[in-house]
Amino acid sequence: MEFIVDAQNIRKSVKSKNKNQPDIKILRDVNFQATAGEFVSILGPSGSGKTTLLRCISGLTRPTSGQVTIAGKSLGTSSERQLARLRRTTISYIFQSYNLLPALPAYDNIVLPLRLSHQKINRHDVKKLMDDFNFQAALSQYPAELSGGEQQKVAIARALMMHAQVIFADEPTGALDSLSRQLIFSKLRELTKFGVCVVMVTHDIEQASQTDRSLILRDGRLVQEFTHPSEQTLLEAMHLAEKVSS
Amino acid sequence: MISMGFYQFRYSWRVWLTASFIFIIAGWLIGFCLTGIFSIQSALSSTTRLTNDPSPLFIIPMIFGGLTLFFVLGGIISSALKEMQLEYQLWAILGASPRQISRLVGVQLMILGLLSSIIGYFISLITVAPFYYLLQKNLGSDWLPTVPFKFSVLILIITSGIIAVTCFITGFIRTKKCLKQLDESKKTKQKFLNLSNLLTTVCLIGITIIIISILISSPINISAHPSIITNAEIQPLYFTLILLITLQLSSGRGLFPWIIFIMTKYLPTNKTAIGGTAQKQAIANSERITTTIIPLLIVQTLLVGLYELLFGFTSPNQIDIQNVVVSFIVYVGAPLILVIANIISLTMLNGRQQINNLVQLTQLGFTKLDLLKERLSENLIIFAVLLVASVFNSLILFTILALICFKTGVSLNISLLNIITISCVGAIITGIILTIIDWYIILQHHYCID
Repeated sequence: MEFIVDAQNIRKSVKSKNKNQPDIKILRDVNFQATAGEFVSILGPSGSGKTTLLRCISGLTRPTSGQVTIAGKSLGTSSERQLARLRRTTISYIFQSYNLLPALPAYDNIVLPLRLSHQKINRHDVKKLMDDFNFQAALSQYPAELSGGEQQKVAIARALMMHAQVIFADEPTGALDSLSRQLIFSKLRELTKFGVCVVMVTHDIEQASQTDRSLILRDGRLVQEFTHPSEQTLLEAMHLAEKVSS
Repeated sequence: MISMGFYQFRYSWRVWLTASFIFIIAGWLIGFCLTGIFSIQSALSSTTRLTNDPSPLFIIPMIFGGLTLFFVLGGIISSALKEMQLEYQLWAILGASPRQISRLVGVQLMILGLLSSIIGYFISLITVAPFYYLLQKNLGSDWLPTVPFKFSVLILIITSGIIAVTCFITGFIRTKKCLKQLDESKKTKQKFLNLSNLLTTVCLIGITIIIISILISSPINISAHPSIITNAEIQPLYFTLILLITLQLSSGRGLFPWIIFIMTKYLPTNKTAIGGTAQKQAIANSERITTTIIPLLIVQTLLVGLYELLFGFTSPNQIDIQNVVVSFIVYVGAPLILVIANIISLTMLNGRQQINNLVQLTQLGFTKLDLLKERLSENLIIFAVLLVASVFNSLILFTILALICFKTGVSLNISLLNIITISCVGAIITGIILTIIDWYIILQHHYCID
C-alpha cells in the first residue's frame, strides 16, 4: 500500500536550559503512515506531543531524528525552497486560529498558493467554490472582519484551490461554535472523498469517532490505534492515557 | 509579489512608520548633499568668480553617510521582522519561499524608503542654505563661495531612487539572512571558520602586527620639522581605525551578548526584583542591544580617531580650528547623525515590542515607578557595555598614537584621560537618550497598561 504520509522513527527532543539536565524528550520513536483519502485523528492528554507530532510529520518542524516522506518527497533532504513548493502544491495547513494572513482580503488568501506558484487564477471558480460553502461575507473582506467559521471556510477553500493532497489540521474547530464546528468538520470529511488525506489533531472525541482511524498519543509515544472507533472506545482510551500520564 | 508587498505594507504601516525616522534622515542627508554638489557644480560651470570648489564638503558626508546607512539598516530590518515574525512565519507556512518573503520585505522597505526620502528631501531643501551660510560665515567666503541652492526634480528623483534601491537591496539580503537564522535545521553549532570569526582573527592579528612593527622599527628622524608629522608616519593610525571598525562589525554580534551575560552575572543586584528583572531582560534582549551598540561604537571610534589625528600631534597653538570643524563635519557628521537617527528608530520600534513586556510586568505587580527604574537599570547595563567596549577601542588607538609619537620624537599633545572622557561622554549620552525614550513609552502608555 502506498502511503501519502510516511513517518518513521520520529524523535523530537529539545535542550534543557539547565546544562546539567538531560534533553527533554517530546516524541519517542513514533511511526505514522496515512493513505490518500484517509481521515486520521490524533488524540492524547495535554502535553502528550500531539501538536509536535503534527508539526514534525507536516514539515513545520524538523524532528531530531527520523524520516518523513510526503507524496514521495523526503522532508529531511528538502531545502527550504523545495519545502515551500510542497506547501503551495501538496500540503495545506489549518490551525485553530491565525490561518489567514491578516494583511490580505479573503480572496487573496484563497488564491495565495496559486499566486506564489505563478499559476493562472480563475476568479469565477473561487466565487463558485465560496457559494458552495455558503460563504456569507464578501471576498473583499479582511480576516479581522470574518467570523471564525468563515475564516476556516476560507482556509479550506484555499486547500481546495491548490488541490492539496494532504491537509494537516490542528484543532481546526476548537474556537468555533457547535454549528460551525459541525459544518467545518463535515467539509473536511467531504474532502477525503476526493482523495485528500486529512490528519487532524483534536480533543473532540465525537469528531474523532467519525474519522477513519484514531491514534492515541501518551508521553510522546503512540500507545493505541483504532480503526473506525466508537466514542465509547475513545473515551475509555483517553481516560486510561490521562490516568497513566498523571 | 509587488501587489502582495503593497497589501502587507498597508497592514503593517504602523510598524514601518515607527521605523521611518531613519529613512527620513537618510533622505535628508542624501538630498542635502546632492543639492549642495549639484548647486556648486552648476555655479562653478556658469561663473568664473568661484575660485574654490567646496564640493568635498558634501561628497564625503554622502560617502560616509551611505556606508553608515548600509550598516545601520540591518538592525532596523531585524527589529521590524521580529515585530512581524508571526506574519512571515505564516507566509512561509502558506508556501512562500525564503526568496519570495525576502522580496516581500524588500518591496515594503522600498515603499517606505521612497515615501520617507521624499519627505527628507524637502526638509533638506529648507536646511541646506542656512547650514551652508552659517559655515560660510565662520570659514569665510574664500573657502565657501556664495552658491544658490534650488529645488530640482532630478535631485528629488535621484535621492528617492538611491534610498529606495538601497532599502530594497538591504531588505532583501537582510531578510534572507534572518530567515536562514530562523530555520531550525540550520541552528547547528556554527563552524569556527565562518566569515565573522575569520575577519575577527585577521583584525586582531593586524592590530598586533601594527603595534609590533612600530615597536621594532627604528626611530624616525624628523629633526628638520620636529613638530610636523607626515602621512607615512600616521598610516598605522589609519589602518588601526579601519581594523577596529571591521573588528566591531565582525565580532560585535557574538561578543556583546557574552559581555552582557558576564556583566549581569556578577552584578550584586541580581537578587532584587527590579535589578534581577533588568539583568535577565538584558540577557534576553542582548541581540537587540547589540544592534544599538555596534553603530555607536563605530562612530565613537571615528570620533576618537579624528580627535587623535587633529590634536594628537599638533601643539595647541598650532591647531587650525577651521580645519577641525570642517573635518568633523565632513568625516563624522553624517555617520553621527545617522547613528543617532538609528538609535531613535530602533528604540521606537523596540518600544512597540516592549508594550507587551510592560503590560506583563504591570500584571505581575510592577508600579509605574518600578517600570521606570527597571528600564533605567537595563539602560545602565547598555551604558556599561558600551563604556567597556569604547574604552578598549580608545586604549588601542591611544597606544598606537603614543607609539608613533615615541618613534618620531613628536610630543604627544593629548592624554589618555582626554580619550577616555570621549568614551564616557558618548556612553552617557547614549544611556540618557535610551532612557528618555523608554520612559516616554512607559509614561505615555501606562494608562493603557492600567
